[in-house]
Amino acid sequence: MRRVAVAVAALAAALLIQLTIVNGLVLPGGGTPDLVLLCVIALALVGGRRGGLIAGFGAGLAIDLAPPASQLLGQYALVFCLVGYCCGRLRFTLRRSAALALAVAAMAAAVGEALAAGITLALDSPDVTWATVVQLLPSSVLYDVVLSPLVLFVVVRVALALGAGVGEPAGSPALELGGSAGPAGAAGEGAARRVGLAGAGRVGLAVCGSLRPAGDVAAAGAVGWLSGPAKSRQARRAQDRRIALLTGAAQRKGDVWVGSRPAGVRPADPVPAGRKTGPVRLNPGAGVAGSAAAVSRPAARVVPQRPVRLGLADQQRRSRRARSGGLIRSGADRSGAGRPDRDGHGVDRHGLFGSGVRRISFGSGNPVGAGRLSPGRLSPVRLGPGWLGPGRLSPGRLGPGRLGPGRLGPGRLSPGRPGVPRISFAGGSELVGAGRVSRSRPGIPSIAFGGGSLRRAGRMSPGRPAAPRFRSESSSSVRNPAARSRPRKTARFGIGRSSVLHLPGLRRAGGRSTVWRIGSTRTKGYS
Amino acid sequence: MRDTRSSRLLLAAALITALALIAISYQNASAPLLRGIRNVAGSALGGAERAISPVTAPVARFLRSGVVAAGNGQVTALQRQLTTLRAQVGAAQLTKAEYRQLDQLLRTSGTGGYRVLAASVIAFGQGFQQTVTLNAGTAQGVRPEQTVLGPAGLAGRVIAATGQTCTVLLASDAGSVVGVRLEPSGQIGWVTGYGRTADHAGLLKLQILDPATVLTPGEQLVTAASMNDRPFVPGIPVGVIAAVLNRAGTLTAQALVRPYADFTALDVVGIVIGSAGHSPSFAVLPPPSKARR
Repeated sequence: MRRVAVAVAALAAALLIQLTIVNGLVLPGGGTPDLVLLCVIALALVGGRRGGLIAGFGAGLAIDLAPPASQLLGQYALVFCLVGYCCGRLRFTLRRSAALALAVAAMAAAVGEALAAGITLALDSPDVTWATVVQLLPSSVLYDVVLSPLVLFVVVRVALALGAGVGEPAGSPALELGGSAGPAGAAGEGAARRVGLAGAGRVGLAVCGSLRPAGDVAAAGAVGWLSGPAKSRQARRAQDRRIALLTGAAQRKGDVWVGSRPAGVRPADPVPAGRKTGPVRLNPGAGVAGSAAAVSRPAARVVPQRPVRLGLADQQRRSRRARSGGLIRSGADRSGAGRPDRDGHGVDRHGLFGSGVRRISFGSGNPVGAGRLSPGRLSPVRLGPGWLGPGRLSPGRLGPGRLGPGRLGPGRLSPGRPGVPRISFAGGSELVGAGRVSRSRPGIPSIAFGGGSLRRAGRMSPGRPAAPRFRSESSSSVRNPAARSRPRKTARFGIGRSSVLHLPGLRRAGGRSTVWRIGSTRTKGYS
Repeated sequence: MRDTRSSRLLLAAALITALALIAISYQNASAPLLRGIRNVAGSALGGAERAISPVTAPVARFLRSGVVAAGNGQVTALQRQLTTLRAQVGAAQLTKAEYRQLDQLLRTSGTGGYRVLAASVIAFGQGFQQTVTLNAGTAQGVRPEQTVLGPAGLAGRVIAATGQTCTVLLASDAGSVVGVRLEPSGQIGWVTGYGRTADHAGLLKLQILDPATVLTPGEQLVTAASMNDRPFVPGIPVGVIAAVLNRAGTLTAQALVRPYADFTALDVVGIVIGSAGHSPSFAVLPPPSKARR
């Protein structure tokens, strides 16, 4: 509500300044900047489609009605609501990079001026001639382009100060994956934690799915280009991590976000320490996937076909610690280290801390099967296929009960020393039914990497069970976090979720099939 | 946003509304519905403009004079203006610049015997239109189709009036037509503006009905009489012919007119709310030696 009021106030101020001061200026070239248009563009870039649409329509109508106006009623309303809507569709650019957002703002200003001139030319043709338009338009566009960064910056800063974020709303492709990559508790209970936002008319803005900034502005403002250029290498890394975490993407090729969180960001929904019921899902941002990889060396059962690089920000240090001290700590340590926000290793409590040791298994399957087969009081920690290998492991082809992490339980494979975590990488078919034995040793975490479908596993040679698939996409998409996070199946002609080829009543042309959508809230992030 | 469908519906509704408004106002700009909307919104927004004009008017005046002077390269004039304006910042009511304009205005109107209501420009039109808002409205007796005087000559006519503000269509607007008479000959013609263009900046276009008329630069124009003195009272100085246009292929004699009023620097203007009992004819014109060419 407060943001709506501020948006209205900003538009009113822009309108009054435009009418009382700017329009009276005699500038070189004859044109004048259009502050209202710039304000609408900036509000739309912050507030999204609906906010931009409403702001544009309202501001345009106000220009059409404010006293010195003599033009036809509705001219500017038409132009500005179109511009606002289109800028709202291009909102994701604000999150990507400064240059892109500024380019969009400048382009939108130029298009808006041209549209307004075109409409005036069409409707007031005897008075406004083509020659006039040609004379005035370039200078107007130039002034707009020059002023647009300033207006955009001010509006974005004010919006951030009011608590809005520049993240993507729920349901956008980037956040879908971001949602599934968020802490599990939140992912299950409504991955998109919506924060009400600006813009006239209830513009929902989810700050990064299941993560929200701790405190206030600091975290959201620290995301992306708004925090300014990074001074040092360390600062740049931290910034990259923040961006990657908040956008649900990784910073480098093949990276998966695990380990300690960036400062200022904490899980939206802290999992109570003593919680026992239900499977605890482990997700990046709160996970131990990196630790699993680090400890995986002694198991040595499976050599992954391609190098698995779990890009922990401080991988070396972490693996050293894991080797020396044991990454997965014993129960006594755990009870002491169960602080809500951090621990000694930068490994989140979600996977490791609780009343008992949780089983951590990387594999496919459905949570139901996992829960059934897990030892009674310990809930397994699973990394579902939705996170590990989008698209590769398709649970749709399998009977859901046939391949669960519980069945992949590695206990049978390694009756070894007590207290030593068991980690096994194994293909599915080999391990079916193995989990029954593992129940005997509570207190020992078992970590299983079971990948692949049954059919796939069966085709493989016994010496080469399926490797965990940490897929990395082509290098062309690495620089673009959101593009990386989007499963590419068909050519898409549009921005955001919907294609511009979409027509009401027709099937979406060039859209994605839902089978491929990884980590949508509908499937609770599992398929 | 997830509700793509609803936002699309909203977009469609907004577009249809805007197009409908355009269509209605294109067909009949003074339809009762539109007049009602314009009145209500004009009162509110005009009131806001009027309310903030004490703040914005000095800023606008400073910026405009500064830009204009800089454009002419008159640094000394700019500095003098700057010091003057700095001194005037405290003066809330009538500034010196306003006083000068008002003084000139009163002399002009006094010569013609017009009854003039002084008003200040508080807002300027958007886009290609040459319109301004004045801080006087129907409460002060302003009605549509009244003549507006600049400090030295005709500024325009009132096209709309709300309670506290009125809108003036300047004579420099491309849609403005002012009936005029030539000073020595009494030939009748009309003057239109060029709108907001860079070439012909500050000039008007004169067309004389009689194609045989020979126009010479330096001839002066006054407004011709209108019925019931609306929209223009007779005898108001408009400008002086600056250049005669080639009239090959035209039915009328045409010329460029340099107006007496500076439309880009309007500040204090007068609304003629009552005219003299007689037409002053050419009496209000400045002496020919002082006429700008």
